[in-house]
Amino acid sequence: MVEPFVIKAQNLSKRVSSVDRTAVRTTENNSLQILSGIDVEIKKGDSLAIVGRSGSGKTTLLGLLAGLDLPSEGAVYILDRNLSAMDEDERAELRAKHIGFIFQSFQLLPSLSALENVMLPLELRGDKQAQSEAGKFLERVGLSERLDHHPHQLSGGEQQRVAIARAFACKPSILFADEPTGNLDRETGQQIIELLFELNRTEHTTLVMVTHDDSLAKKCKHILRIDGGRQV
Amino acid sequence: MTERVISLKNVKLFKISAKLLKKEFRQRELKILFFAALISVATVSLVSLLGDHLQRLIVHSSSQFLAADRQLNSPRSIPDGWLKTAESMGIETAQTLSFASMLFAGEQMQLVSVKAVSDRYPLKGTLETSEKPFSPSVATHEIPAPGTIWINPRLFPLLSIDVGAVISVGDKDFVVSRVLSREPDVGFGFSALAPRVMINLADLNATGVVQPGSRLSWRYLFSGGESELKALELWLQPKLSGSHQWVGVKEGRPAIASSMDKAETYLLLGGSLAVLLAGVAIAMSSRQFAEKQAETVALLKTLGLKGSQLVVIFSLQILFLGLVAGALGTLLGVVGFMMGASSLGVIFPELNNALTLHNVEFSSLFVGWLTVAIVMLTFALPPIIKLKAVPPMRVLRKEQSNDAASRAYNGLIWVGGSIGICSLLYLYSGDWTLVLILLMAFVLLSSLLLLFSVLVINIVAKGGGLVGTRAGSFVQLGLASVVRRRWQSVFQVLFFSLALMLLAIIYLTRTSLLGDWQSQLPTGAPNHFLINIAEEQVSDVNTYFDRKNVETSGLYPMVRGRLTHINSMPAKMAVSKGSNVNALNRELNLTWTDNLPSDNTIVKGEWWHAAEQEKNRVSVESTLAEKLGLILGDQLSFTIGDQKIEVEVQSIRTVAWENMRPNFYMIFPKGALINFSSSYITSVYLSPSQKVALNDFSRSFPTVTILEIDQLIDKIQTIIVQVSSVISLIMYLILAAAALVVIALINISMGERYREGALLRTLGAKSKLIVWSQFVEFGVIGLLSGFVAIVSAELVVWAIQSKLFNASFSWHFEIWLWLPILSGLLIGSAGFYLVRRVTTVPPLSILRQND
Ligand SMILES: Nc1ncnc2c1ncn2[C@@H]1O[C@H](COP(=O)(O)OP(=O)(O)OP(=O)(O)O)[C@@H](O)[C@H]1O
Ligand SMILES: [Mg+2]
Repeated sequence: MVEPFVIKAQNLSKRVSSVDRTAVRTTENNSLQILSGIDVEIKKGDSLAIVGRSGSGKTTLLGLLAGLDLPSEGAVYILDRNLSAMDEDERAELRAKHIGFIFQSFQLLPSLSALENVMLPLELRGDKQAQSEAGKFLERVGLSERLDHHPHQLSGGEQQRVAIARAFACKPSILFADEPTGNLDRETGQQIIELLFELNRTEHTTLVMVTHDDSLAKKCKHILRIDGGRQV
Repeated sequence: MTERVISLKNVKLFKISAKLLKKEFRQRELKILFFAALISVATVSLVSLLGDHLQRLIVHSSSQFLAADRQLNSPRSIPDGWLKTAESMGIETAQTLSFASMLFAGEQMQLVSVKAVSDRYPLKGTLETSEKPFSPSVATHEIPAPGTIWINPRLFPLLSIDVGAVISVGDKDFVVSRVLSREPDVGFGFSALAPRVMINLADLNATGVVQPGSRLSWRYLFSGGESELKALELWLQPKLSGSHQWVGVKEGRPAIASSMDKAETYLLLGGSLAVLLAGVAIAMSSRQFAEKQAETVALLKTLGLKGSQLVVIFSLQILFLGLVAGALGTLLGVVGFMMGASSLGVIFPELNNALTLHNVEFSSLFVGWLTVAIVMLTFALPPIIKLKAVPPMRVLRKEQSNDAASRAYNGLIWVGGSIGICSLLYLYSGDWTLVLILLMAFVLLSSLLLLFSVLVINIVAKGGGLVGTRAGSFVQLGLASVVRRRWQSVFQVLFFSLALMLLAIIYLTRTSLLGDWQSQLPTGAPNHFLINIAEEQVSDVNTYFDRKNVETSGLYPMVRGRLTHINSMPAKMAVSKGSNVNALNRELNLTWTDNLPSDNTIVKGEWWHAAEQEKNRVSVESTLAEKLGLILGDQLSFTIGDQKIEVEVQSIRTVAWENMRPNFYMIFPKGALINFSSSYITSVYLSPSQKVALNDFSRSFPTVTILEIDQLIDKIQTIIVQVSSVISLIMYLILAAAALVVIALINISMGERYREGALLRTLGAKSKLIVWSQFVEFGVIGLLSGFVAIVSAELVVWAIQSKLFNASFSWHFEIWLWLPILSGLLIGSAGFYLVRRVTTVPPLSILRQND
């Protein structure tokens, strides 16, 4: 039996118009091509590393695959559903059920404590045990002492770990991570990676991860290289 | 050499500043700061211009009642030189002489009040005449030609004559050429009880009636520029004796014009509030601007710029914004004024020429500029100066610094703001009481809020604590957000309620001010006085009006008498020296009744009860009692005719002078004045259609004098309507300023809310949850603000009403209900509307910002 694709993207491309006067004019019609002709297929439980130089379009691609943005051309299917055919609320619902996210720039809410940041997705789905669940996940990333601290009181690596705990707390079937270890020392980074792959193994969580780290990329089942917005 | 370096550096700073401003103006804070300054300056200029205009309106209306800008009243003619001097100063003059005389028409004779007028009379206002008695009158610019006489319509039936008849005053025959319907300077005093006739002053000597010892009343009329009139007054003042009376705008206007004063105070109040709102909006956006710049500043510091240089860079931007806002705001103010004021010109064509641009009081525009200067210096600049204290470390770690330096700068912000508020309020109102009231309100509001927020925080902390965002439902998420962002919420409630309070104050005082005016002159207020009703006519007059279904304000007997002694001392000596009480110089109208007139109120002593009353008592009007220093039990002596009576002060009353009913300084018990001959007085309201009945009345009661004040009342009512609409305009302007403050405040936290919304969306929240939770959050804040606002507003209005307007105060409970609800809905919708964008753009693009 063939495993179904959880994520399938065909001929993805992304253009942004550069109305901003400071942007470089690349084409006559004032638009900037960030991605073009990307095809991705990921099966359940697979792991995929997206690698490429800075500015090559990795974050953009991740955003498209997760439905945080829509492609200019091509289509993304998650669990056989076409993201472009859904409205924002339907995509949000899909994310709430199936998708976890770790951002390159953490994206913690400054007005919430570490604990509350992790509780947020649990509360969104109406989890009554949100507080204790969140506490457990923070413990797993080694922050059980810092529950009540707010993001500005945490170091960059600590904030990253809160973001990771938040992503885990959802028990997502697909986890998108944008350079999850970029801000961590080797040892902590290693622990986080272990956690990610443990989740991948035990829960069959599909892992899509952007990284600069070749050794990390090699741990993944597939590697997607992009350069200048194109698959290489 | 060093100076050259410095100036070069300054040029460089100026360039950096200009470059940054260009970019930063795209940011919302700076736009809001700019528009706040703009709207405030515009409002302040407009309020100030309208205030001046209203002042002119008051002067204008009172000059109509004086028939001039100033009057000099005298029992004797004044030296020719005085008038010549006035004319040499470019002041127009005219004169009138009034005296009582007998008028003869064949066999008939009648006591009349003759007014001899000079050329150019009246200098202000208009005379109205008609061709036939009791026919519609038209304005005229003429005066009676020598040899002719204009007479009151009632004299025609009394003397049974017609226009064209020849009648005589003293030795001189006159041809009755016109019917005199109205003169501008008729006044409210009932001194002219006899019907009026008017002749040319040139005919005066020929009559031969003016002899040494005759009781004469000369009035010299002056009209011209304000500064010339002031100069004339200065020149005249040392020459005037006690018998001369200089009548200015204040003294000459009808009692009702004091309402205009209230309107002016009201404008000042509105102006002060506009200024307060300006300060709030500007302080807020400047703070936010500085907050946003903190990182740029920290970065520039790591690149080696000095703190003071950075302050110069940003201060230059504020200065520039202030200049542009000041210029545009002034322009808007002038345009608004021209538009608003031209509608007044329709009512007062005489004023129209005063409404051209060069007649705009440019000194009142100065207030707008001073405002923007003070506001920028005290509200906008301190947060900018605080940037000096931003540590370069801020680049590496986003954190509010809380060291001694930044606390000192916070102190500067508060001190600056307070100085700003005080100086602005004083600049604008010139009234420390008002400043004090408003400051107290502000302190009160702040402490109320502090108390409230401490309560909320304690309840939440003690009640098991709120952890998490309650993102399960939008109501809970919204409510929890209010608590989670408690300091932000408190800050928002503070300023929303401040803005709402100011609006509520304006609204409440406006309502009561207008209500005040309306109650003084209700439709149906008496507009005709009937004087000289003989005792035997009383019942006939009563039945006459009963038959016509016209209600009189009651017939009061009237006896004229002079107050001569207080506690056996000659009255003029008994009253403290220096105070020249007019009431002692003339005969007073005395009345008697056992029923306290309905609009009089006893403030001291007791009203009498008919049965047990001693007859030698009197009830005195309160302001006169104060002037004379009377207390209960004082003995007063009156001379009536050639007799004397002694009475004791039993009570002191307030009188509603403006209600157009017969009012009396002195009321005696019934029967006390029984031995003196009296006539009766009353007032009635006649609608325009009933007015025709006056002719009929005059024919039936030819001896009764009718004082028509219906047109006067109409005019006053028109002024009231106009002033009311001006006041509404100002209220809308203040509303706009307040709305800007609200938007500015919501905008402060918008960045944070966008990011939050975007993040919630990536985590799978639906748009409904996000926007409706914003509605709930802002709705709750609006509700609380509305409540705090109405509580404080009521207290302030109470203080204003009792201290400033001397008016009574009543609670406005209906507003307690709808202000919080309305503000909750409006502010909630504003939050809903502003954050709505977050659900229509891809979350990634918002998350990319602010990285
Ligand atoms: N909304 C946008 N407008 C203009 N340019 C954009 C926009 N979004 C992305 N870009 C540009 O597209 C390119 C790819 O961006 P992206 O963030 O995907 O790069 P990346 O591969 O994640 O880089 P890094 O490793 O540095 O994070 C960059 O040059 C970026 O500046
Ligand atoms: Mg990236």
